Amino acid sequence: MVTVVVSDGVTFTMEQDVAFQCGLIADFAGGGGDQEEPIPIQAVNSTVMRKVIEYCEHHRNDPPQPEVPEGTPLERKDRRGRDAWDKQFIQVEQELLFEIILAANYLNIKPLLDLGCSQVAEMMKGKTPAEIQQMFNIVNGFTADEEAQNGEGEEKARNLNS
Amino acid sequence: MDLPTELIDYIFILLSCKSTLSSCSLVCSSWTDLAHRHLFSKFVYTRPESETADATPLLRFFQDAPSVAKHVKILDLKSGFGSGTVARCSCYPEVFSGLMMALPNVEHVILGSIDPPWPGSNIGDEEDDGDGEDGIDERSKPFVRSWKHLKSLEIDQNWIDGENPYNTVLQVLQPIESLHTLRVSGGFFSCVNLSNVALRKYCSTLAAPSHLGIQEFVWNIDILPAIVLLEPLRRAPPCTLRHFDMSYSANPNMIWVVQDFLNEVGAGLETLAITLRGTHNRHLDLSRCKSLQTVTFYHDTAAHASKDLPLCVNATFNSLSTTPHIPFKLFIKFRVFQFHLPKESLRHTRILPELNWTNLARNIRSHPCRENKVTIIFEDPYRFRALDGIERIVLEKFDLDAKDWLEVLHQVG
Repeated sequence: MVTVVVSDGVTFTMEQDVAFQCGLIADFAGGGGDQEEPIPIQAVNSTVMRKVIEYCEHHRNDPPQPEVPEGTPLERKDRRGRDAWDKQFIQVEQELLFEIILAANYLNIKPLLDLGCSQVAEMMKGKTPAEIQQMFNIVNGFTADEEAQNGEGEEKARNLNS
Repeated sequence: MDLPTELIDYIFILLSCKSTLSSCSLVCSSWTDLAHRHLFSKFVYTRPESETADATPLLRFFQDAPSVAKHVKILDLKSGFGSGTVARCSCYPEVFSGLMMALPNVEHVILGSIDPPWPGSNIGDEEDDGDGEDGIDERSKPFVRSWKHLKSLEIDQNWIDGENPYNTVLQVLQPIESLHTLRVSGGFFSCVNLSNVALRKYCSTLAAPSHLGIQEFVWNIDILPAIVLLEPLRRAPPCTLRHFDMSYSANPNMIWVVQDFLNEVGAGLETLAITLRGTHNRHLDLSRCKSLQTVTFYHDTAAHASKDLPLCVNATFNSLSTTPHIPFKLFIKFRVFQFHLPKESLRHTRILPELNWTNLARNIRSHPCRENKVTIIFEDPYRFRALDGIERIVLEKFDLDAKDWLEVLHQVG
């Protein structure tokens, strides 16, 4: 068994095959037997950790995924496909979604990182710049001139780059 | 969005939709550069129907937008100039050179069936080779300076004769040291206007990169003097060629050229793919190719009746040595060996009956890597004799009557 203590002081105990899906925990435990001391996970709170453990428990029996080159779009990746459970799992509030992505990145859980990032990509698909700004509460910071110039440049580029 | 830059970048990688990436580039200033990196890393230019076949609009765009141009790593002009004529492309050299200047980080360039006129492009001109004091062709200098990151160049439908500017395109790119892959396909070597000097220059260009593909070429020269190919190789620094693909190039005497070529540059060669044609190429000695790992032979029958591959030998080698009795001296040491031999093709070729199957079997039996899987796929039942060293025989595409099957069973034992 592996025990971790998260940023708000909550302790979680997991079986090794669940815990070791997190690269960080596997590295910390050194691949050995039961870990006596709790592993501190300061960058993740208990709410997010619960979600992470839920994901790891569901995928504990998955076969190891082959390495794919960085930069391969998700549709072409031979990684763990998003099944119905995954789709349901990642349907969360935006704030929690970002926290899950950050946690997956910190804990080094590549499939969960893919799942979270592809969910964000999915949310952005087909949206205009203004819609994306509104959705993620982003201030664009462009002057009116810059905005017009950028828009014109993008239009030209779209016409030339098929 | 409270995500660090590297995660936003990762989300953009997952976004394969160009229009969304384009929208992202307009969301905020910190996203612009990130989105452009993915949006423009491969730039495929398709000439609008109404435009003539020059790349001037493309050049103007890159000159006006250096923040975009810096992200272009792959420039694909294959379909941008496909139907252009020489007259309509008259500004091409300047534009092409301008493009090189405007794209400082381009690594791969794909050119299509274009006919760009290039000043002084007659490479058959023996008196003026254009070399400057430092030994670099004057025309090469701007390219060498501007395209220092260029790693690969692909050219399609390449008419190679003394007048063709493509020769010059290759020539001026040759001094670029980073260029490791050169793939020219659909070429047509014409004896018209192609003097030995021209051919020599062309071949010296081909010898430079580590990956070389000259596919689907027609060598329309009755006897291509191998010496012409070899001379520049002898003068060149130690050849860096690692991968050589000459598949589907047609010339009855090509095996001579290939053999001499391999003798000269084969020591470092790791992969080789060639097409053997008709009855002219029987003996290929790969004994000097000490580093060879993978060989793919495509064989086109003398009849040229089928577009399918009638014969494909694909062997992965540990190392090679020679034996006197096997015409194809590649059946010696291997890890995986597949031999596809359609029955029909045997009626049209005189190569295969000359293979010494007894020796082949003996070599298989004595091979130190017997634990490796050996699969032989035969489509002619009468070739099994003395192949008892084979672990598995797969019968494919047979259409045999009972008598033939009895013969097969007898042969296999």
